[in-house]
Amino acid sequence: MDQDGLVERARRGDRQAFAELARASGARLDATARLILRDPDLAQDAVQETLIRAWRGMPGLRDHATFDHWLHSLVAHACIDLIRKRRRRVIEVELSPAHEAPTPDQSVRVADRDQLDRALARLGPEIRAVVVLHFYLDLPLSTVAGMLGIPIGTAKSRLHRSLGTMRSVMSIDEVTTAPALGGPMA
Amino acid sequence: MSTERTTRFERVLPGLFDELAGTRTPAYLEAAIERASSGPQRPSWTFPGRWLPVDITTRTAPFVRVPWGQIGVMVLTGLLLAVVLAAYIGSQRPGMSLLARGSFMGHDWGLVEFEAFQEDSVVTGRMTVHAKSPDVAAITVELQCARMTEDGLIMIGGHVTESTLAAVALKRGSPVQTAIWVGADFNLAVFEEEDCLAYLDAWLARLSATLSSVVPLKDDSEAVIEFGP
Repeated sequence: MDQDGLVERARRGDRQAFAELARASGARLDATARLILRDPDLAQDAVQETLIRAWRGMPGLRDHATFDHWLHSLVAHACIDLIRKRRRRVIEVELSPAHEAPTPDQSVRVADRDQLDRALARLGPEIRAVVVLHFYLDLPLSTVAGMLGIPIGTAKSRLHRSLGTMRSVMSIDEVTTAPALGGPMA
Repeated sequence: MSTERTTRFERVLPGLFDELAGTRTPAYLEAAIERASSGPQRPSWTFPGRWLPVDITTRTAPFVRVPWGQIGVMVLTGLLLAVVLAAYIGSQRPGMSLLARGSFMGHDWGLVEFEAFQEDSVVTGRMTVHAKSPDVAAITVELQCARMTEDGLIMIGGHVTESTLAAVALKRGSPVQTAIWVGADFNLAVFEEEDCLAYLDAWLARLSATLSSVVPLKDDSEAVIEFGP
């Protein structure tokens, strides 16, 4: 069944349909939460809260096509809520790469990833939320601003500042010229 | 060059984010789904979108930067205007109506200028009585009481000092009649009334009883006097 059908069934209280939707988005939700929160345990809490809010709020979702955006918005808000509630308790940890040990030709890529990890650690959670939603979930800034309930100017300002911080931490020349980074994105 | 670097930098970020985030399904997901969907859903009728147009219920409220500086200036300006308005209203003696105002030349005095307002039994205003001689200082009277008779006589008085009173007497007509009394009439027995109304009553009694003995009201075609309603 396509997503629209699953969303419609979930809206009507079909737990199985909701479970399928959640499974399809689970990895992305977990990754988003880990990138923003930099704490796997908190990320788990955020995803749990996201799923609870999603299940409860499904009947109110009128436009099925917005399900993914809606879910991403919920996880971003869940992260920010957790940050605000536990601001003093957040213990950031280095994110574990989800891949196996790198081969020698992947070493440059791994180094870049580590640099990105260090760069993210320098950003505040609310700024990280903008960066993650924009660069990881590939959402336009206007959408990000709407999701986070901030003015577009604030979103732009946060992104600009975060890029400056990240550039200062990461090796720009290496990142921008390394052949390994060319790929389909460069 | 800087722009190109920025562009390339931003272009590689999504790929790095993908690698950093990974794609594994979290082990806790099934339990989380089970826990989430074990609760009740919110009834659909409780969502505003069911009752209101979607674009209204889903539209993000526009964020307006609060112009605190401008608000501060406006508040200060508003306060200033309020103060000026209050001062203006205060100066207008709200509730007071004009009793009489104008000027005339006194019998034994120089120019008499006065302005009196009244509300019920309360009279306010000021009168200045100039002496004929420029070497003598003018008298200032804080007007505070008035008597009006049925035949149109209006007497307005007040203290010059604690023990000295003065009054202006006016009578409507054409021409208007005027008189100015300061203190007692030394041609008569001295009366030492300290109460304003008693002072006016004493003059009124003398005026009625021995009109020829007191400073009489005189026809004054040159007087410029405006009477209240």
